[in-house]
Amino acid sequence: MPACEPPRFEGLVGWRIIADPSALDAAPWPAGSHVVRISPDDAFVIGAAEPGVPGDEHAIVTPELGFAGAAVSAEQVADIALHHIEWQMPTGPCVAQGQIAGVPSKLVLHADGSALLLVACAARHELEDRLG
Amino acid sequence: MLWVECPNCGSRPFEEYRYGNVFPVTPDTITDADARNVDYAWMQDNIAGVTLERWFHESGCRRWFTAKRDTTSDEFLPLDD
Repeated sequence: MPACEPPRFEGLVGWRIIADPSALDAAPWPAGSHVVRISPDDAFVIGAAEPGVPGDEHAIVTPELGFAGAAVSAEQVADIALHHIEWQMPTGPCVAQGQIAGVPSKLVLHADGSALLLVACAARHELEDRLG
Repeated sequence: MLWVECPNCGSRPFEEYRYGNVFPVTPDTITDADARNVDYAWMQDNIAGVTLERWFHESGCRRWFTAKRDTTSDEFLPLDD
């Protein structure tokens, strides 16, 4: 029996951007967008019109439909960290990446302890089953 | 458990990674170009000690990085020492 409600995922529509790290640092993201920095040269931008990266003329910007996401409360994050994560969960606003319940996932942690849990669409049902 | 430090994500269990082998070092005594290629591609040194290795964080940021590891203790060492 899970300690709290398991997350419910839905497919996300966004943009995947591969560009020079300094150009990504300085990019003016559209208002209302949510930027997940996967690595210094790789970003996933959710909820925006096609973003531009003025600092890198060779930036690759392409639609990204391969992630599913679920908003999880601080209580759910604590439950996931306690039961499904082997590594040390960072605190504060940041992106934590690694296996959750053995499935490659990303946790976009917010300041209030809540988070956006991201997983590849192909592994979405597997993660739902394991967290449920 | 072996823990590997990803420069982007932090310390994670080794199951999250793909091991990309050591940097091959071809001895200067081999001068023939074909022989050097064979040595580079096929001859493994199997070093007992500190090696430079490539690792791929498959379950995280999905980036390759270089790590320095002592194969006798599995200790990961700073790259810049």
